[in-house]
Amino acid sequence: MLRLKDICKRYKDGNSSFLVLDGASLDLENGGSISIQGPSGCGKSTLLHLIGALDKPDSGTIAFTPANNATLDIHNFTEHQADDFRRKNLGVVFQRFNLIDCISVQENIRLPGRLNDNLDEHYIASLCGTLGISRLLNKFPTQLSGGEQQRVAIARALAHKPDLVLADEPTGNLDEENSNIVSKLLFDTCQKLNTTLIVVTHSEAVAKQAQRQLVVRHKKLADIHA
Amino acid sequence: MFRLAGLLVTVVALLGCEKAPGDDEQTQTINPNFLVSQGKKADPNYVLSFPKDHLPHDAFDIEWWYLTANLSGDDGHQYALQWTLFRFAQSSQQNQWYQGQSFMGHASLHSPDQHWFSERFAPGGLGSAGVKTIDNKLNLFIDDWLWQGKSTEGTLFPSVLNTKIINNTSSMEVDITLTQTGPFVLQGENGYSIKSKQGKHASHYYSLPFIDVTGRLELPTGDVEVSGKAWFDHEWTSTLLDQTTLGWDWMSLHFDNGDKLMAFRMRLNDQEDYQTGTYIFKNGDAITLSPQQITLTIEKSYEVEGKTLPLEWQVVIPSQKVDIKVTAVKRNAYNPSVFPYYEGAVKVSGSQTGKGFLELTGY
Amino acid sequence: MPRTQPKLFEVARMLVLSYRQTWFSLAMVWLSLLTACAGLSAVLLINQSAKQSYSADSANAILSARHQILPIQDSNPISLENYRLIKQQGLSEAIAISTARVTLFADSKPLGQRIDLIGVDVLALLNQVKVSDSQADSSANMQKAPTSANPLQIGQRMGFNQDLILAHPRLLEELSITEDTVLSLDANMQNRLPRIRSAQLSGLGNELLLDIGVLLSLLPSNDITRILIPSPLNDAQLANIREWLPNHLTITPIEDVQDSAQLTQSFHLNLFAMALLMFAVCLFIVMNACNLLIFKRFAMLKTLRQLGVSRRMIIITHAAELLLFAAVISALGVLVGTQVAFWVAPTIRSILEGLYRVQVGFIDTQWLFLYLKIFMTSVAGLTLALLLPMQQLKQSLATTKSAIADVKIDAPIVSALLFFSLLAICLFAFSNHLGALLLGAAAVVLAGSCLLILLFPHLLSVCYRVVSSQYTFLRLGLAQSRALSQKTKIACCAFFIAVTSNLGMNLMVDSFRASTESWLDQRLVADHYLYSDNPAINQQLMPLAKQYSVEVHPRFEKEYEYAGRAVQLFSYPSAERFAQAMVFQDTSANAWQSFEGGKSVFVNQQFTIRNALSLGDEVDIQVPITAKTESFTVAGIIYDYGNPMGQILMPPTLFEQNPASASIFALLGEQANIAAFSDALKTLDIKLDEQLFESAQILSGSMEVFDRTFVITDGLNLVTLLVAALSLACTLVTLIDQSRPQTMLLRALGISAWQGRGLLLLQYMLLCFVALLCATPFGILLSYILIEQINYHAFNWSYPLVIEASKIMQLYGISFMVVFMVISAPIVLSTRKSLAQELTCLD
Repeated sequence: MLRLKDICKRYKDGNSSFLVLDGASLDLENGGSISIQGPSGCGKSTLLHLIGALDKPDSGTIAFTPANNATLDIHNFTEHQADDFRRKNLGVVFQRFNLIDCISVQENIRLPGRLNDNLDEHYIASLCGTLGISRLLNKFPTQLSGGEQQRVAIARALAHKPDLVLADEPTGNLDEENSNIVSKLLFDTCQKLNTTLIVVTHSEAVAKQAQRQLVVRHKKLADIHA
Repeated sequence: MFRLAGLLVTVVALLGCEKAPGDDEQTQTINPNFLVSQGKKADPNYVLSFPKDHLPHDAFDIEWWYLTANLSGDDGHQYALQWTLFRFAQSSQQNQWYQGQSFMGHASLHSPDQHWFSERFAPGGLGSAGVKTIDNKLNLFIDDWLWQGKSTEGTLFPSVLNTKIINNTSSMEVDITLTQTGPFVLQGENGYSIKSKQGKHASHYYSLPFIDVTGRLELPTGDVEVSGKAWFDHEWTSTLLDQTTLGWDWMSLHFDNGDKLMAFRMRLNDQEDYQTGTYIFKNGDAITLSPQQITLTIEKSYEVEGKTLPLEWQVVIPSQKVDIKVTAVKRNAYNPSVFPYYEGAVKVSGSQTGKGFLELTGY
Repeated sequence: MPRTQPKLFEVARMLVLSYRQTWFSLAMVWLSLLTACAGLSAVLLINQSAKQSYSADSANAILSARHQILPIQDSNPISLENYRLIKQQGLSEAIAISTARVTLFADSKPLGQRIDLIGVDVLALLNQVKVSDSQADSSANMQKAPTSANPLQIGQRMGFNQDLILAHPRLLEELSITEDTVLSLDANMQNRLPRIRSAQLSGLGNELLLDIGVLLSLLPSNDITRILIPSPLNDAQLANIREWLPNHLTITPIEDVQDSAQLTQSFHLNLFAMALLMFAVCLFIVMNACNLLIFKRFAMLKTLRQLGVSRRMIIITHAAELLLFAAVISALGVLVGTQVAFWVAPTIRSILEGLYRVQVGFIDTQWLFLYLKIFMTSVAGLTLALLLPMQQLKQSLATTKSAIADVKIDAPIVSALLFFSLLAICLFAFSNHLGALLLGAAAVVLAGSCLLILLFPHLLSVCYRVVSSQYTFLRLGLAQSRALSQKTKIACCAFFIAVTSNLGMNLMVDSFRASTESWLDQRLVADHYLYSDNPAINQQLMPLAKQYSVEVHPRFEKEYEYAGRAVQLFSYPSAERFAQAMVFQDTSANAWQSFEGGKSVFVNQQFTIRNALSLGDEVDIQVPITAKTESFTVAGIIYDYGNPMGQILMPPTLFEQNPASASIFALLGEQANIAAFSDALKTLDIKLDEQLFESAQILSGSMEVFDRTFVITDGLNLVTLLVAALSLACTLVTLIDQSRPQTMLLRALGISAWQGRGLLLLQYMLLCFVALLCATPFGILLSYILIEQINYHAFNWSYPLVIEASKIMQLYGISFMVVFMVISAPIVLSTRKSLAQELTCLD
């Protein structure tokens, strides 16, 4: 279960500051998927960064309880704890710059597993097969198309069997066809692996694939249909 | 007659300065400390005797043995020769190297269109310069310049003079014989010569204006046999230079009738100029001329080496019916010494005719 | 052109407005250029002010004479009578000099250093005044003017005013005394010197100039040391002088004396080479800093392009900006360099005076001339260094790409590699000229740089493949290093050059040191050595030694000339102890037998090289004892490090057995006997602390001087390494920016901030490590070239190259440490923002 309660976040810009999130709250069961929409600058990515322990809220709580594990108070993480969390429990997919150019696709996918010492070659092979990237393993990221890169990014995000995957505009740089393919793969694979998935997107088509659709409205999270 | 080569004005002006003149990088002045010391004073009662008084008088500050000669060459040209040995007392340098004395030698030869000038310096203790009787012969020497009396009685004449003169572009050699043809002349009162109205400036001074010269000049263009007349001065003093001395003008003239004239004008800072002279008859008798008895008037001056020099003079001695014009033969007869001064041949016209030398200092 | 001018101003104005954002890279450009200019200025000034001479010949540097008259033997000096004779022979311009090194006292306390008193015949100097005056006026002699004006200055101050002692104002500063200070030769202040006058005489250094008469009265035991002849003398004049010159005196051209002091040449060469090296490496930093500057400005430049400003205008404005930097910073560099030269002058002086018996004077700095030299060098260097960045900028501004494209430079690099390699081979094979050999050495280093540029990525790839995948961080680091290697080639080149030079110089110096130490150790066969050139004393030594059962072995000496060049002709015993002490480069069979039999000689390397001799060749040498010329075989070639002269060794039986002709005596015996003999020596008026030495003392003293000599080289080496590391730092700052997305991605994957920094550090340390590996063989090669080519042809001797792994490892350690220190700061600084702020770069 992922629980956000009354999250507030303010950013400073020179002498002024502005409130991005003001009391955002969220409950999400393990294995579930949600999409978050909203206009540019509304705080979607900020929310993702807070959940992913990439940043800290000014107030509020973020608690994550992986399956059969103790609850993690993400909002109180020290830097060390945040690093640990990102390494072991989290998978991230960004809009671009997902892959490390100087190592091969295979190395990119294996990297999180190596960092965690829990590399499962069979699992990775199966994952690559599912994502249709088995033939690309010896190539380098600069040799791949955008869609192929994002599929590799998904594989990399799931390679170490994280409890939670955060995807920030994963199809933002892709055309419609690739966008559909990649987003479907992301949702299906996470569901298959029972991995909690949070996707931030502008795309209605991508958002619809989630179990719940949320929107950032008035600096809070709300059901899109509400 | 006395002579001292030097930028006396600058030197004297600097006597009162605390810092050494060389601290001002732009001045090109030597600061002789002999001017500061006060040696023995000239004594009006002193009796000169020869050959003893040909030798140096170390107790006095400054001394010189000065020869000028107007020569005619077998090439038809006129030549003007000057040879001078100076002695300076350096009382602060009573060490083996100096033994309290320094020497300076000047040698100059003018041809119609060339000038050779050389300068030598030597410390008194080295023994490379001096005036000495060696093997009973009188020697005046500095380095390889030698003026040597032939007589073993220690007299200066007859004598031979050999000197090599080198300028920036060439060199020449003087090899002459000097023969005395008349008596020595004691300047002033028995050789006690007063240079200023108040009598503060005085020296011991004698001359020999009666010298015949024969010999050879080895010039770059070839050897020239020469002959002519010379004038010798020997003077020593300790009170010549003080803060009032600006400079002097001096001339030595050989008249064609055999008479001689020494005339000079002392220029002083706080007094009017002091003019005097000595008229010397061909038999050797001499009359000292007081300032009232001789008039020296500048007729014309010229720009020479950036200075305005009086190179045409009128000399009037009513008592001797002398009314002459003295004209410098060459305009630029500056001796480029570390103490530069003008020294060159002159022509005499008017009531008497003849030739001689003109010296100008302190300009 | 009216339309262009406003644009130039506008573009320039934009550049100036961007300074606030680009302060770091600007600071790097200025600092590195300043370092280069200051270093070069300092070295030029140091080299200019050092004068070559044997002991106390600094008078020549002050007065610039062409010839000098010297006593053949110190035991028969120049007398006053000799000087008078010289004057009376017509050499009126001859200037007598007397020198003495003394301890001076002020307020009864000794001054901090011994001072040389130079007594000059000031009256003789007045003869020079008019000549110097005319030379000083000549504008064509601007460079010489300060030196030739010295006689004028001295004459002005001291002519007929000998109660003065002249000192350079900087010496007064160093000694903390003023013109009012009273100096004395004794602590009781009884033997007082004349009053001091400050005089900015070119060439005057650790010396006080005074009238010779005053000096001789203060130090009555002093003699006339030498007589300078300022004007040039032709062969006829020289021959004439030699006819009448007394037998115990000799007249020599000053140049011959200078040629002999070759070790000083090596010192100056060393300094100059290091300065040039430093300048070159600084230019690398400038190049990298300019790259960084351009990178930071690129967005602005793109906008200017969009607004219609031509590429030509942008390039011209940049060039004008750099020219202005060069103009201003060259001036600052000259000022800083002058101050540095002043600060190190005492150290340099003590090194040169202690080791080479050379005087280092203070010079009148010709600011304008020095500034112009430094400015022109800066402009030339900047032009060379910035050709590539400007070319890159020009190309980049022609495209719409946002990143600066890498220029493909492989083909030109291969050509450059071939060119430099061939150049080096040709120069070493066909030239003996020192300048050409140095050029060859530079070509080798540059060829190495080209090879590094070509091989860098491939070497890193090999390392990547070799390292097991279980070492995640290392492989990641290697992978990123490999990617970085394309962009860091030039910066790593600077590092490569610095390391190669460091290694080459260090190995050369260490080999020299090791060879010198072992050679000295072996050659010092006796436990004690006595120095005495007093014939009267020497005659008494052997009988006295016999009383104390001490063996005394004199080294007989003979002045000799071979093929028109002065050589040392010494005796050498062939007893076993001495035979074992000899260090040969090469010997023939039965060498010692033949030597002892008087059939052959031993010669040093210098002699064989200069006369194109080999082992077994015949040489005709005059036998000292018979004065007849006989033929001898070269039976052995000995090492003789640092000796500028050729040397021939013969058995003692071929010399007159007269201790008066020896100046060095080896003492062998029991320690107690030696001690007793030493006590007895005092009765002969021998100063034990100045004339009797233990071998261990000689060895340790020599090595101390050796180490002091090269301490400046060590300093310069470190500075060079530092500036190379700074060059890397500039590149790093650019690249950190460019690789920020990759770094942030890794952070997002759970790598901690410190792990991220560690990874960045690892990448660059790996680059340095590979550069070090490549530099090692080139460094060794450079060392070999310096010893076997440059040293051999310049000084006609060589020594074995000793390669110690520990020294190489030491250099590795220092290099890593320097690089670590320099690049840590930018890495830490660049990764100090919060992760969230940094993540915006991924959007």
